[in-house]
Amino acid sequence: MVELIKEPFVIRALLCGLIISIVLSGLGVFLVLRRLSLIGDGLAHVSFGGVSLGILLGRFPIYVAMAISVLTSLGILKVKKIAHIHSDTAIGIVSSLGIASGVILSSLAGGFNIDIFSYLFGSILSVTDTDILISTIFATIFLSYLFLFYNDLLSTTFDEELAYAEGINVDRINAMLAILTGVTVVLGMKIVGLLLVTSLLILPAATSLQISRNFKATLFLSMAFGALSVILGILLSLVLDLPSGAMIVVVNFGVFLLTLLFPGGKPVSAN
Amino acid sequence: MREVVSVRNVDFRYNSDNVLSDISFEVSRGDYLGIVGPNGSGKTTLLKLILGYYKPTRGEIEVFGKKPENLKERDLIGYVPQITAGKIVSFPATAKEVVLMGLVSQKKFPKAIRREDEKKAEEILEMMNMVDLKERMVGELSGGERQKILLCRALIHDPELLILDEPVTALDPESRQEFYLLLERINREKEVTIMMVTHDTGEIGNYATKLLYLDRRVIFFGSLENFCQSEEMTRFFGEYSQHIICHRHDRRPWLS
Repeated sequence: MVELIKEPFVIRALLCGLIISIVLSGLGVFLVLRRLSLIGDGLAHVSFGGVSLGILLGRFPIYVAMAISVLTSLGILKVKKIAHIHSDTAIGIVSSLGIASGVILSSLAGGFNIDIFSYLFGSILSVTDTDILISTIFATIFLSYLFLFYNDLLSTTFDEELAYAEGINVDRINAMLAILTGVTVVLGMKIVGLLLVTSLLILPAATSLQISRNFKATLFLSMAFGALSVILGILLSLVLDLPSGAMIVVVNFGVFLLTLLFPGGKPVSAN
Repeated sequence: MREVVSVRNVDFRYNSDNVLSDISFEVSRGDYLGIVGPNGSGKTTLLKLILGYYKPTRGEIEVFGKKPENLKERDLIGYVPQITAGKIVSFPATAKEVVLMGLVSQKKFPKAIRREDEKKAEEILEMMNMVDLKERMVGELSGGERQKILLCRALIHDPELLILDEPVTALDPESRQEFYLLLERINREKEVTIMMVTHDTGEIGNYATKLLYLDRRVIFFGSLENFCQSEEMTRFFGEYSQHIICHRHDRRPWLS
């Protein structure tokens, strides 16, 4: 086990996983509270289309997926506002379209191959130094955004209409959140894969919401649970020789179950 | 008398539905306007137009002399929305955190909350007899307590105009009286202009100085005295309904 941890690919996977999990689980708190939990799924499906397009073109599948994911994330926001439809409907529409275009494009690219599968289920073996660098830069952007706009984010997440009435630039805050989500979902696919990336957005946040007593604690605990699950999940996957993405989700769910045992964790209305 | 809100010939359509037609009225500094009307009469829509959340299809709205969407001095307005209990119950914030959100927009970048802000939040909570609940999560509060927290949030930046959308719905009769008396005090002592949408027609007549009766168009706008003396309104509403609004109840002495 100790020998294994010294392997460069494991160190890269742990480092990249740690960085991405902090961003995903931090963003997850805002998305879960905004009833946008499934946006990760929608964007992941669209990113599948992007990856397939990249493979078909033979160029930068991750960056193609990232661009499409960000545009889709902003699109969901716009459609929700203009068409007055619920976010789950907008997510459902892009989700199915993403999968459909992914299947068509990957078929044109010569069918499902090992490349596509590594994006779908994650591949910690493929984490490169460049991935770590990009993740670090992106995590720095995310944490700066969180630090500088924390109160705007909190207020907008609590109630958009009220935040707007009080003079907060709700559109700007939402657009920034959409861009960050679009990029992070794609970065997360290296670690857990496109099909499981939503788990890192939802489970740490849902776990944290069970036991937190204020908003800051919810945010920090979510990030801590996300990081813990990724580290434990990767290590367990190496020991048990099982897929790392799936192990991360299992560990995440285990932590969630543990917090359910806390008595009185979830607030109960006094009504 | 300074004009705070001016609504001139406003129409608002949503899809093909005429939600509001030819709405005109003015609210001056220190007014206490009760906005009443049946369900679906456009009361909340009117408030959202005044707040700039929607834009009128026709006509003009000015708040403190500016179009709502161009009003940069948002701290002039305090807004208490219809309570969204479902969302608030599961939101992981303490009562004090929610009250402090009311200061965010007026703070300079990066909008850090300082010790004096927390002190101010505690003072407002103290005024509402809520300071003991400051560290409680909003989901653990009763509907009435949550409503008071939202009022604290609206008051923390010392607004000149307070807009409330059915604020007393979740309150028991005693809390309701207490809430009305508090608003009346804010209105009289600080000359804060109040616009309140309410279904509580039995009580609004005790406190409001002006009345707007809305049913997708203005049925009545004017002083409460004019409403109560108007034979046209008696014919429109019937004596009983007019009496409900105009009858002044004795206020409970221990609350006043």
